[in-house]
Amino acid sequence: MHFEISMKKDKSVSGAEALMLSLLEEKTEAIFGYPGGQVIHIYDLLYKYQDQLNHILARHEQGAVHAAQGYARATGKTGVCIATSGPGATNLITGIADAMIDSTPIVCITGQVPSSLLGSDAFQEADIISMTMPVTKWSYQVTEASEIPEAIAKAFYIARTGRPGPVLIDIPKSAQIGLCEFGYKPCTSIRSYKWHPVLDESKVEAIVEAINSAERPLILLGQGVKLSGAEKKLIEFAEKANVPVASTLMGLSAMPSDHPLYMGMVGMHGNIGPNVLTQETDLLIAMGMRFSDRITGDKTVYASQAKVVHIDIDKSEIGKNVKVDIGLHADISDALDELIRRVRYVDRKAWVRQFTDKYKFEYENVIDLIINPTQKEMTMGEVVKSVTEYTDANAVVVTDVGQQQMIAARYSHFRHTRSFITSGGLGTMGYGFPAAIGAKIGVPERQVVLFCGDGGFQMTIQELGTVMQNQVGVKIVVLNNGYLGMVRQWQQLFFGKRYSNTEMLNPDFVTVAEAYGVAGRSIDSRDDLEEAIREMFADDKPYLLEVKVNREGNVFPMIPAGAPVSGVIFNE
Amino acid sequence: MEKNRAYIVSVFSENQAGVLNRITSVFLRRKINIESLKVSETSVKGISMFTIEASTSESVMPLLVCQIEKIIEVIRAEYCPADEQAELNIQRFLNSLGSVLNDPDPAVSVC
Repeated sequence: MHFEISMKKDKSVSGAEALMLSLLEEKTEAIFGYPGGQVIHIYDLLYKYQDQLNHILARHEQGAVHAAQGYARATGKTGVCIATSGPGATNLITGIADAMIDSTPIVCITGQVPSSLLGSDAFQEADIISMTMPVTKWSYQVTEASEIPEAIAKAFYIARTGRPGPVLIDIPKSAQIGLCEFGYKPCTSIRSYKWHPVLDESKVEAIVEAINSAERPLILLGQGVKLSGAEKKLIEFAEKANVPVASTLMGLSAMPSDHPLYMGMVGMHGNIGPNVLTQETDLLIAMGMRFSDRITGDKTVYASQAKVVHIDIDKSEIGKNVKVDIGLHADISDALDELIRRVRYVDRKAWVRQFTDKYKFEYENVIDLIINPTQKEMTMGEVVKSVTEYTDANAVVVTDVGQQQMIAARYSHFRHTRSFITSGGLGTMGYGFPAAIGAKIGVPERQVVLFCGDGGFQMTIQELGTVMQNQVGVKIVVLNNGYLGMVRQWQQLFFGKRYSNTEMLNPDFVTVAEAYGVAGRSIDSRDDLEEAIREMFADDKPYLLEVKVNREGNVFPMIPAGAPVSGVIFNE
Repeated sequence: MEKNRAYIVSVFSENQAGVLNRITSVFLRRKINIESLKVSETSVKGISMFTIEASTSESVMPLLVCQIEKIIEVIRAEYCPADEQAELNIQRFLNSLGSVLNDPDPAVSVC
C-alpha cells in the first residue's frame, strides 16, 4: 500500500496523521464513524487519506459501533469506529458492552477535550475511559501524539487475540494536533497478557479417553469455534469420533445445517432434541461456549448426570456456571488438532436416532405449523423459510432482538460459516440494522438479509441514511406484528395477557424507506410472498420488505426462565 | 448460604493508571467490600504488587482471582485465607515474581 506522509522539515507528523498511518499499518479497510468538535482534526486527515482509508458516515454513533461489530462478525477482521468526545463517546457504550459480552473484536477511537481541560467539565467532556471500564477488554487515554502508534498497535493486538473484545482509545485534541516522529511497530506480545495457552497434555488424554468410551456423547459448539477459525476441524473431529453436535445461538452457521451430525440449536428457544437430550448424555463436550443461562435453564440440574468437558480460551469461563469434570484451557483449534489425531470412531446409531426422532416430533407438532401455516395470517417462520430457500442457505442472516431473532435462528439454514449475526449476550434491540450494514460492507459479494421487528427497526432506523448515502445493498425484512413481540409473549404466558406498553402504532415503513431512496414493498398475504422475495433479490440495491404477520404469534418451543432444559413447553 | 471468610488476594501487575480501578471493579461487581488495600513497587521496574483483604465465600474466590487475571495489565493473582499463614504466603508470592515472569505460560494457575 502506498501512501504519502506529509513531512515537516524535521520529519514529524501530527497525532491525527499518526493515527491514519497506524490504521493503515493495521490494514484497516473500513472505519465507521461520526464527526464532531473533538475529532475534527482526525476527520481532516481522513479527508486527506480518503483514497486509502474507507470511512463510512453513520447517522448515530450507536449505528457506527454496531456496524463495526457486524463488519467484524462477517469478516473475522477487527471492526473500527470513531466518535467525538462527550455524547459521541457515550453513544458508543451500548455497542461496546454488546461487543464485550459477545467477544467481538472492535477498536473504538474517541476524541477528547485537550489535555489542559481534562477534569474541568469542559464542553463535551466525558470520562469515557471510566464509563467503559467494565465493558472494555482494554482502554487507554493517550496524552502525547507520540503515544498514538503504540496505543493503536496494542489496541488491535488486544482486540483480536485470545478471547476477542472491544478496546477503546481516547485521544485528546492536544494529542491529535501535537507532532511526533512516526515509526510503527506492530504489537506481537505484551508482558502481562499471555493469551495463547499451552495445552495440558494430561487433560487432552483424559478427554480422548472419555470420548472413546462414551456411549451417548454430545458436542456443544459456541462462537469460540468460529473465533478460532476451527470450523473445518470441528467437523473433522465430530465425523472421526462420530459424535452428534448441537450449537448455541452464537455458534450458528459454524457447522452447515444439513450435516448429518448437526442436531440443531440448544437454548431457551432451541430445538427439543438437543435440549432434552442434554439431560440424557453421558459426556457433554462444550467447545467455545460459556453455558449462558439461556442455555442451561435451571443450573442445579443441568447435565447433572453427564461428565462435562469444557474447552475454552478464557480460563475464567471454565467452571464458572456449570461444574466441569475435565476443563481444558485452550485455543479450540489447538485442542482439535490433538483430539482429531487420537479419537476413535464408535458406532452410536441408536443415540443419534434419538435426536432425529425428537426432531420429527418437533417438526410435526411445532415447526410444520409455523413454516407451513394454514391460517390466513402470515407467520414469521414462513417468511424466514422462504428467504432461506430462495437464497439457498447462502446468505448472511442478521437479526435484531426478540421473536424474529429466535425464529430466524431456528428456521434459517446455513452452508457457510460467519452467516449468522445477532446480539446474543446483551440482546440489544436496534443492533440488527447497523450490523447488517457493517456486514454488507465487509462482505459485499454475499447477500446480507436482515430480519427485524417493528420495534427494533425503529431503534436505529436513522441508519437508512447510511444506506442511502453509500448505497449499501442490505435486504431489510421487517416482520411487523405491531407489538414488542417477545415481551408481549411473556405478558401473555406469565402476566395474564396484561399487555402493558407493548402495543405499537407504527409508521408506513415502506414510505419511510422510500423517503431515503430505498425501494420496498409491504405484504400481508401469503400469495404475494414469493414474488416479493424475488423482487427483493432482483438486484444488489438496498430493499425493504415489510411483512405484516400474525399479531399474537408466539415462539415455541420454549424453556421458561429457570426451568430445567427438559421442561420444554411446546404451545400456549 | 455459604459462610464468608477473610481472604487476602495478591496481584502482580504493570504499574499503569487505571489498573487499580479495574481490579476493584471485579470486587465491586460481586458486592464484595475491600477491607484493606496496599500497593507497592516490586524489584522489577514497572511492576507493582497489590495486597487486598476482603471477605467472601470460598466458592467465589477462585473465580474472582481468575477474573482479576483477565485484566490485561495483570500478570498473576493468587489468594490465601487471612490466617497466620497469610504473611508467609504473601512473601512466597512476592518471591515468585522472577519465575512468574520467566514462565512461558503463566496462565496455568488456580481456576
